Amino acid sequence: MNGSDTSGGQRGGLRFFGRMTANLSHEFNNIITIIGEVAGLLDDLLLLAEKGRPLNTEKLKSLSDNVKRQVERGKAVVKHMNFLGHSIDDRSREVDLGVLVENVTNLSKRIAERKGVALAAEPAVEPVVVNCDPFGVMQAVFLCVDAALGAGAVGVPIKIGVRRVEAGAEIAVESAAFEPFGSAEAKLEDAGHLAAQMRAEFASQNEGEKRVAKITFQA
Amino acid sequence: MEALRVLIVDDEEELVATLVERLEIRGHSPVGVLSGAEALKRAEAEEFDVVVLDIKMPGEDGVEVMKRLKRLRAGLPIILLTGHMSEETSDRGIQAGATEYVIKPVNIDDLVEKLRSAVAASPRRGGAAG
Repeated sequence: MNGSDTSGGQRGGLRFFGRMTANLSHEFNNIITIIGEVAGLLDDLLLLAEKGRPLNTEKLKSLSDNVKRQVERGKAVVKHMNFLGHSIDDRSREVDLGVLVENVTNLSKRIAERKGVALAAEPAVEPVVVNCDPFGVMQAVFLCVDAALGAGAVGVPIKIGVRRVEAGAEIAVESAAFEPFGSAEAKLEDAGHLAAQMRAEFASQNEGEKRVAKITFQA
Repeated sequence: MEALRVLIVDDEEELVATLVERLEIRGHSPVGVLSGAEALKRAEAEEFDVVVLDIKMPGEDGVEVMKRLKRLRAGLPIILLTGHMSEETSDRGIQAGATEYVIKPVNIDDLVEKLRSAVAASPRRGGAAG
């Protein structure tokens, strides 16, 4: 932790971690529930088969496909959970911002969906690798998303993009719901260890009709 | 054994489809929908004995959906389906008139038992609950 760390910042980090893990546990529970119900349905069909109703192979195939889909869904959750877990390993390391944004987007998607908001990461054209604190940056991106969700009307989409800029690189979180920026800026106070520059940049961006929160990285 | 008309509301399509099939195998008449808005439409168009409602669905407050269902069909028993039952959710659910809770993963025998109890206790069937 550096000199700007505060207990508030630590609590903010824990709050972020808690929200992400609670969200992931909800997703896991849904996966487990579906697999459990499919297994239950297979038991039901076997009981019926014992009583003389023939097993429908198409039906069995469809249930097997359903379980495979849930396994793939579970693998994706594990991947994002793993990325989140290892994001606190180093205070600073080389990170591909496109990969980081993809992970935050997937971790936050259900939280946004519950508010009727579509959250999407714009595919990165090329890897944008910077040295940064991955946990702090994930938290900052989520706080931008959370600020848009808190400020926004239901259904206003949020887009997250990563691009190289002259000074280095930036993550841009775009939502028509960002207004006033002050509310979003206040949320970033939660992340006490984030750079003051990041907060200032976040508060000052408003590209015409587009409302964008930016997290910048100097080359 | 009486066949119950059950409305199942959850945004997880594959869960709804499987629950519908398992209740059908047990002799009931379930209908599955994927949102509160669809549930309100179905409940307006036809009679159900009981509703199983996911409390957390995208863009919708399950408790609010429950209140609207209750306004539409007074005395309709509603069983909340939830992943994690917090005290806050529980209190809100009870205050809004939930009859019962089922926590995911679902045990089908428990669910059927709760469906029967909820319907038996419903004022529509001469019970006391509402």
